[in-house]
Amino acid sequence: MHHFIKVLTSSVSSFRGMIPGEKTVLVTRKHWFFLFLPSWAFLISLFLPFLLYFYISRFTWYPFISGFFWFLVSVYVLVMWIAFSYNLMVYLLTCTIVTNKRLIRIETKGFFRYERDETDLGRIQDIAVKISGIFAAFLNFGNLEVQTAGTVVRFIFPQLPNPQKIRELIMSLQEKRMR
Amino acid sequence: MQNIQDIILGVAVLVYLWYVFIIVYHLIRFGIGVHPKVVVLVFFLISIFLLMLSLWAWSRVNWDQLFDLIKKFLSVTKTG
Repeated sequence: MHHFIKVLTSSVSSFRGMIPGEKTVLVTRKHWFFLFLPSWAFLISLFLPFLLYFYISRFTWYPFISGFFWFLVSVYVLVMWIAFSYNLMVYLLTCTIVTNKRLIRIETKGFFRYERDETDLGRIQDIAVKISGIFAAFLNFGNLEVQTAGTVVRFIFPQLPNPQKIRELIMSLQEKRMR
Repeated sequence: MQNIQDIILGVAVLVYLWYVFIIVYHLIRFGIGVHPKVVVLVFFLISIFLLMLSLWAWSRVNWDQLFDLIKKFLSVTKTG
């Protein structure tokens, strides 16, 4: 119970696996555009049962099945809601964390499936920003490619908002750490 | 027949609640920052509301009338 309350009331900056003296500087997720696209698909699909209603409500047998039809619609909405929430969960739990010591990438791939990569700021050799495509240029999102001296030599942080600012932030933190 | 319907309904509700629980668990356990926790609250309330709506819709279905209609439809298709 104590752990549950602690998790619910944890501050913006805390996350599992923090090391002593570590402070979170930034928690960022993929650009909202990548949540917006599937959300539209779900929203549009919610109108499908109503289109079907306008078609079948003309038939003489419709009053006999109207209760069952609306029950099926409610089940359809339930399923769509769970599917949308699953997408939202994956979006929220896939994030990039910049701390004063490390750069961490957590990628959620489904229920109980996630990948976590991290590198020490001191090991970073180069950070490149890659923006490709018209939407990326307009909405200002892109990939952050981090070259390191560690065992995993290249980290790719995909579709981050304001990648240039994040790059500058990481470099300034790296400079502070070097001093 | 009523018993079978109740069992199907019970299993469906349990499966739904399981998915709701798993999503809530993930967002609370692995979420970083305030956003996931706010989403959990909204998600949970909407999920319960939608479940209640579905149960209400289930209670309003006239199953006898529906089965009669299906029987009539099948007999028409059999006799051609």
